[in-house]
Amino acid sequence: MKKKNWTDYLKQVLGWTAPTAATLSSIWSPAQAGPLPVLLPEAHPSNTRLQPLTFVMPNRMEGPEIYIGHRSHSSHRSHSSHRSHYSSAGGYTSPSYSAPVYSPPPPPPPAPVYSAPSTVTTPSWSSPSKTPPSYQPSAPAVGSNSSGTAAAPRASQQDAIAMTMRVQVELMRLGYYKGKIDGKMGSGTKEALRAFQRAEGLAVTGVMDNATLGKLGVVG
Amino acid sequence: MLPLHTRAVISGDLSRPLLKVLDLAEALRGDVPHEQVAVHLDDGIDVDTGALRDLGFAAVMRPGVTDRQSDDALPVICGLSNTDVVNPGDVIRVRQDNGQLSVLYRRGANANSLFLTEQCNSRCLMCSQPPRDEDDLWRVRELLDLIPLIDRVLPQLGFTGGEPTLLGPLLPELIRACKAALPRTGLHILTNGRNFADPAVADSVHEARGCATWAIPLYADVPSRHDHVVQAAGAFDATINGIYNLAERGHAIEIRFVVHAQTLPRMQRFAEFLWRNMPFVSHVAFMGLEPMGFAKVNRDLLWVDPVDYGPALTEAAWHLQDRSITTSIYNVPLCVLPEAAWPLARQSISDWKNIYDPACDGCSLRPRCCGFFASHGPAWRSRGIKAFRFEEAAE
Repeated sequence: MKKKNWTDYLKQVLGWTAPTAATLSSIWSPAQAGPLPVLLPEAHPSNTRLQPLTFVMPNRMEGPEIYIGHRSHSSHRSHSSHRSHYSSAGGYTSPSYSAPVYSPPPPPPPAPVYSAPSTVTTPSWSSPSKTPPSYQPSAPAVGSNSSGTAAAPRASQQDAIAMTMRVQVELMRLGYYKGKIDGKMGSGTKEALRAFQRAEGLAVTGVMDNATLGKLGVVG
Repeated sequence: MLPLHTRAVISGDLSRPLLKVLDLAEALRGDVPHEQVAVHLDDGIDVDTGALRDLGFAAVMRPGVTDRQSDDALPVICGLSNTDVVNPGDVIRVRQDNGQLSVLYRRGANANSLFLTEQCNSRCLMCSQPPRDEDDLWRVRELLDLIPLIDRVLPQLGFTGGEPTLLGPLLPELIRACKAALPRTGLHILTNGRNFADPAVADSVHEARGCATWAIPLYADVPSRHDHVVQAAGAFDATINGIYNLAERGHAIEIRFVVHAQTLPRMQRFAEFLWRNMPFVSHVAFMGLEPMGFAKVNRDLLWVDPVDYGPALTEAAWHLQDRSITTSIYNVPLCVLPEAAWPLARQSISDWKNIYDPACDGCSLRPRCCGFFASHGPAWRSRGIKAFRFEEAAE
């Protein structure tokens, strides 16, 4: 019934006998057109040894907070992070830097307003108008640091009802909620959420944030 | 021994007869499409069924409650005459006209089978499921609805009948449906294998390779005796050809041998025949007689006290096991088997078979024993039945 996972087993063996792995690969690759040679490069002792076999089961949801309503979507946070990113890039205000005399044409207002730092290294230091490269938050944010903005997906009405009911079921099971399972985020449910969050040492928000959902085991 | 049927009070119109019963938390998780789910509500829990209706659920089930509540917004299944029959995870068929609930899939049962057809081209003397020539294609349609509602973690699912190859192209279709909905589930398909003598039929089930075991009965090493047992001329040759055709195509095959007065005379030769001619089979099952169906009628033709065939069975089974063919003995209680055969004796696979005689009270080997068939009567009782004391078992 239960089959041994031979590829994993082989990887283990090769992990123990790493020094010979290279030799083995050179011997095997012509004959074994199968998956063996492909596996060899990753059979590294540091990866395969001392790593206990575990099953990874995420106990909280990754990604945007989609069950907590509008007010928590603080778009300001992401902007401030951009700004700090800029200041830390440094170099603009350094007076000791003698720039080559090259005055660029006035830069046309770019549509993607966030110009990457690499472009700033062009010799445009002397341009005084350049001092704060104005980052305008009007356009939808681009790039990887835009999470948490208003562009995050919202749960559909049905998803939200189902998720609220799941939370009510779990809170009831744990004894925090005694009301009706109705899928509505009423005062009783919020109070139960707060009580649960307090007991679990979470931020007491009274909303279904990801940390709370994770603690309740309401995932996916 | 939980029955598979019960009655219920059904109010409201169900849009479909097959429903997956799930408790509220699992139903809301959304693994099963809501329109196929009956939400199982424990007594006393206060749930807004309007919200459940908005989420698209098919019905709610309140097993212990006698009637629907005034504010119920969904069809309600309640007032079960036996509340133990249906549990969360099960798939049920609901007959709206007469209120019958039938469990088609039971979560956690040790053997779940799909009953494919009542038709058969053999008439075995000891058949436990006598065939009927009726148009039962509705079964296949129902199974195609049932299969996606079965839990994906199910390790094994049986196909039984009837002779499933008589369904023609519907058998491959059922196999495909299982592979699609239950990719991790092994199939165990009972067939007499005769139709696989036609290579085209053997080709048609190619999708079963790697995920199914074909369980094929063979009752002798010679045609005359096998054909007599299955009451069909030419059956032996067809079955042998069918087995080879399947094996040639890489299928896993189990051979089943039911021990009774008509098969016993060739049992030793049968074991030798298997080893010589079919060393590729993955499993051989020797089975005690199931006293139901035709077997009841033919009792005098078939009955041998297992105590009397125990030694011969032990020898035949070990003959194969010693030659590295996995061999099992089913449906024979340990007390009537020689101890030498105990390592090969398996606990019966179906819940309903696993019952015990009053004489078994206090037997210390019960946890390891297959027990009796539910349908056993005094005429089928071995004189060897006894309880083992603790000291005996310790030896």
